Amino acid sequence: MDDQARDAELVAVRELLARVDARLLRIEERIERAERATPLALAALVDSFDTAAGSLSERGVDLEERVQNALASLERVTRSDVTELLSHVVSIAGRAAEALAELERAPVAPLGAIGTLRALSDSGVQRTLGFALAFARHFGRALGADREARQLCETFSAARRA
Amino acid sequence: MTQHTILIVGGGTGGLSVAARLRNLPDPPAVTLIEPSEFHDYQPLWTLVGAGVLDKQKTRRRQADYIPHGVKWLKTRAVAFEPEHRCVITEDGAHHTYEQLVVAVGIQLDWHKIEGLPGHIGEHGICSNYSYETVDSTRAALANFRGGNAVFTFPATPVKCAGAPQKIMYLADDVLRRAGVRERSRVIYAAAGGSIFGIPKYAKTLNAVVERRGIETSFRHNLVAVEPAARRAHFRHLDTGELKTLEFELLHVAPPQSAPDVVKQSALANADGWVEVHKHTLQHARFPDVFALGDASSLPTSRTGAAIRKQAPVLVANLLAFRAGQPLTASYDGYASCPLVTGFGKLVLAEFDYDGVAQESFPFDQSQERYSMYALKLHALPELYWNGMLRGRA
Repeated sequence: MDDQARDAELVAVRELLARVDARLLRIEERIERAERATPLALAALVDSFDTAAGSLSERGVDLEERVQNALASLERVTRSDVTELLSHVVSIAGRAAEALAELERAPVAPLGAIGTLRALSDSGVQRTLGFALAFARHFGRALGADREARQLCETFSAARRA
Repeated sequence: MTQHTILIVGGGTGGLSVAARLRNLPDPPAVTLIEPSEFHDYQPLWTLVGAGVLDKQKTRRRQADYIPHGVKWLKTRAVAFEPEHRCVITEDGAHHTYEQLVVAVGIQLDWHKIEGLPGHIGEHGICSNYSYETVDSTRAALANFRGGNAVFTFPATPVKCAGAPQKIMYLADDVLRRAGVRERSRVIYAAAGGSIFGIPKYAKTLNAVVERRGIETSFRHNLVAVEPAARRAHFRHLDTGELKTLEFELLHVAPPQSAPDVVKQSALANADGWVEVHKHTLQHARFPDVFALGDASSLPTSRTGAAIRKQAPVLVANLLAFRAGQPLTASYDGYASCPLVTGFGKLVLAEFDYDGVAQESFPFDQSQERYSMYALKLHALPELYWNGMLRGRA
């Protein structure tokens, strides 16, 4: 390599270093800005949170109790049997959405007593009724097994009687 | 006689923190720990246990699970220090010599210094959050309270966690309000100190809390005797010497406290019984191969776990420097912290140094009552303790 080529290379390296240096300077400035802004942002965030928590407390809301309840609910919801069930529910909801979309395309005619009886022979209607009755049977059993839910039902019944 | 390199006496917060930090070193020295307890308690949560927020079992773990890897654990009790001979004697009669000694034996609860009290915690509305054995008595006393005087005491001695006597009072006030009995009761803070808190910045908030809650204060009054069956507590005024009697339905006792007798009876002690160490280096004033930290030390700061968190790295750095024959350059500035629970879901996070200057960790005003700081105490600090401090990481 002759001297001229070496000089050109050195100039190129120097320019590259100057660009890197300028970029590093900009990064450093950004970090410094972030260092200054982060504590302020954190302070603002925590102040806002604590102000909201204080307002809730004044209204009689025990935030800690709510947090514990939410965690307990989350624990229940993430149980494997519950997630499996939720998966089924989502699947059924998807089918229901498809059925509603079908309704959009086909006009819905009014149906009398005779028409209702005739519809019972349709296999789709039969499957839906079967599903609804089976669901009602299982849900009823589950409610019976759950003391809290049973008490809730009794409360509703009492309220209706009143 | 058994020879040890570094001998640590006491496996509480201070002893375990130092042991873990030493063993985390790339080329760790041999460390032996003398500690008789089967269990290790996270005591800062006892306030919330007494108030019924938590079960006390959640504050206790097996000591064996927190002895750092590589540390030789002697499950026995130290009964004498002989620093002149570089020797510690244990209850089995064994003599243990050392190159360096770390004393971290904690603080002693002197229930017996209150006449009529021993044996009656848990009876007649008398309760205390100050030990694992008695902390449930507070929950029971609050549950059984139907009105009358609820009295909370603070002794005329240094105590561990100086905020604890008033924290349970604020929570108790909330409990009584929720139970609908606050209107027919008086909540009284009968304390040997002269004010609600030593640092003005936090005292301002706490005085407002006291006023808001309608709490009566009776400062400079030291509990000296109790008549459990008659439900009477006797206090002596520290300036006038006058006796004052308060009837109570609930009496929460913060017991008088002192350095453990094994320290008081040794040459390690200063005139007040504490291990006499330099307040910045944590090295003993007369025995340079002895270091101390935590509640048993003479360090003129609040006796809290947070203080130990800052003491442990300084002690380890200076101990290593001493072993290397170098000057001790690490310095402890007296940092201590007191998370002052001011009610359910509310906390003032006090942090300060030897000079009473606030040394706050967060960029907001920590003298305000905050739910975020309450959540920090309840959920984050225990994890920081078990997985950070005791592992020598924080």
